[in-house]
Amino acid sequence: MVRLTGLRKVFGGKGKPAVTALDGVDLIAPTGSITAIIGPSGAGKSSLLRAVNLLERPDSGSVVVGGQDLTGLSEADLRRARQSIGMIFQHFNLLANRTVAGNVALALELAGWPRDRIAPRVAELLDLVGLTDKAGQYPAALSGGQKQRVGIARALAPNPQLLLCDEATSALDPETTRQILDLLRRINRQLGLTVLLITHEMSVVREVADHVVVLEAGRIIEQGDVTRIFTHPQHPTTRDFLAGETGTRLPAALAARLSPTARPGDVALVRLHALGPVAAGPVLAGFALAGVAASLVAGRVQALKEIPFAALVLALKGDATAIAAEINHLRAQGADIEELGHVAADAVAFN
Amino acid sequence: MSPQMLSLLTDATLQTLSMVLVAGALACLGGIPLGLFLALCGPGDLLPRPALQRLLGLVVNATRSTPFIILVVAIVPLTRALTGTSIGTAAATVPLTLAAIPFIARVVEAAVREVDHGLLDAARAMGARPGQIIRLVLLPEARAGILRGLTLAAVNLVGYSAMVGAVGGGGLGDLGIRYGYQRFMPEMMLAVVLILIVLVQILQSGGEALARKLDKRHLKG
Repeated sequence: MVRLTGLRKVFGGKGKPAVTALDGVDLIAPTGSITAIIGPSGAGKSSLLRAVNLLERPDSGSVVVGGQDLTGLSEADLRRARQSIGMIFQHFNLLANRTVAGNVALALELAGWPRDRIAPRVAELLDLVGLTDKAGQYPAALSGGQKQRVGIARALAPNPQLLLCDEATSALDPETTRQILDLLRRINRQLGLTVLLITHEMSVVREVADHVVVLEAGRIIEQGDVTRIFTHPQHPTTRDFLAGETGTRLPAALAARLSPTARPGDVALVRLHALGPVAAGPVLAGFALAGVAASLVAGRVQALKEIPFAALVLALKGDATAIAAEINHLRAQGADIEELGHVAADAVAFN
Repeated sequence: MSPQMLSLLTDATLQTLSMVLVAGALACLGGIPLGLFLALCGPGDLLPRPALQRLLGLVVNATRSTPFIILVVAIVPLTRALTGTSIGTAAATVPLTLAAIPFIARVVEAAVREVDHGLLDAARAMGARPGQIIRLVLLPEARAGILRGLTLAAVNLVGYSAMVGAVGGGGLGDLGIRYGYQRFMPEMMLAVVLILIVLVQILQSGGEALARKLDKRHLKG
């Protein structure tokens, strides 16, 4: 559905320091999928998303949406192409002086729909996002979540093939975020809509994404299926993002005491990512059976696409060969295990 | 208060009102389009015409920085050419209009520039043409701000119309100077000032009430 090739974008120049927002980005978002682009602030996420409908024209590279290269289109053709690409925004960007129904109708007026077809379509969309009773209200009377629902209804009004979400949940509280993400998921499934979203929150990725693209300093450092990224993250930045989301980031005091080599009496710290039966299984008991004392330092078990997903930091005390054997056993079952290093036993309350 | 005084005050009030209304209406015809041009045609704006925009901006600043009383005198030839005279209510309308145009242009420009830039993004993402963005997004979103600016302009016009009184323009200012000051009739001066206060109050609260009615940005309790 979306194919971006060799996108480059540099801001500034002419006396101001140049900032490279996009440094050669290639990306494919398959039809009907939800692709999440994640990265720290300043990574170029927003520039990347805004390049897809050419709100920000890249300096070079091609943007193909639904088989059509947008970069070569005339202004008029580009405007027509944009009507099949919906977009929602962090701050909703609703017209304060139009009612909820009026805001949704705007998209159809701009797309040149005849008057008599607009009202029924607006009613249909408000029903889809659950705001039928708010049709006559102005945005000022709505909560953040309701405003974003209006934004979604507006974006979907002209039946787009693609929906771009620019930090669509970043201004919302966690519960509202979950509801909006559920709505996006439902729309994706019901309408077969392709969704491309940017976020700085790994929880958003975990809840809705099929594919993940990790962006850093204008480059894609890692991309893949969400399950693969969560269970086998490769790049240190991805690992760090993931550690933040799964609560397996080591406390600074503990991280400072990590040593790559073991001194006598030390315990080994490992970070384990596992999905499905391994995650739900008796991981700690497995170590115990191998004669290794395993204690849980940090982590949690969450749902990833409705499958249990464990991200745990374990402190392991015991014979090095027994530890290695059990780690290999878990790896053979599909777990991703990162050996973080060794600390003195008292650092993790082993005595 | 004698019947003569009353009739003088009534005439002067009507003259002031006609000056403010006629000059205000004419200035809107010139000032609103000019303000839209200033807001929409700068570098990086929706319809960039940077050279002309800069030039018009300079003309607006030059007109606004000329003291009104000097403007009145300086354009007497133009006033004569347009109205055939340089004194009286009709003649006073010319400098009043000319002074109000750049003022209105700036307040309209400010109101349009106040519209959240995110709305432009949303409209562009929906495939809007520049003309549609102006008509369906910018103007409706800026209308309350424009109306507040026009109210400000109307109040200023009342003040300026009193000033043209000093140079034979008629109206309440003229009455205040000739009777209240030169003939030393404090009760006339007081009446003139009171009528001006009431006029300004009516304009201000009327404009504000209408702007509030049009402005849906905030919940009203």
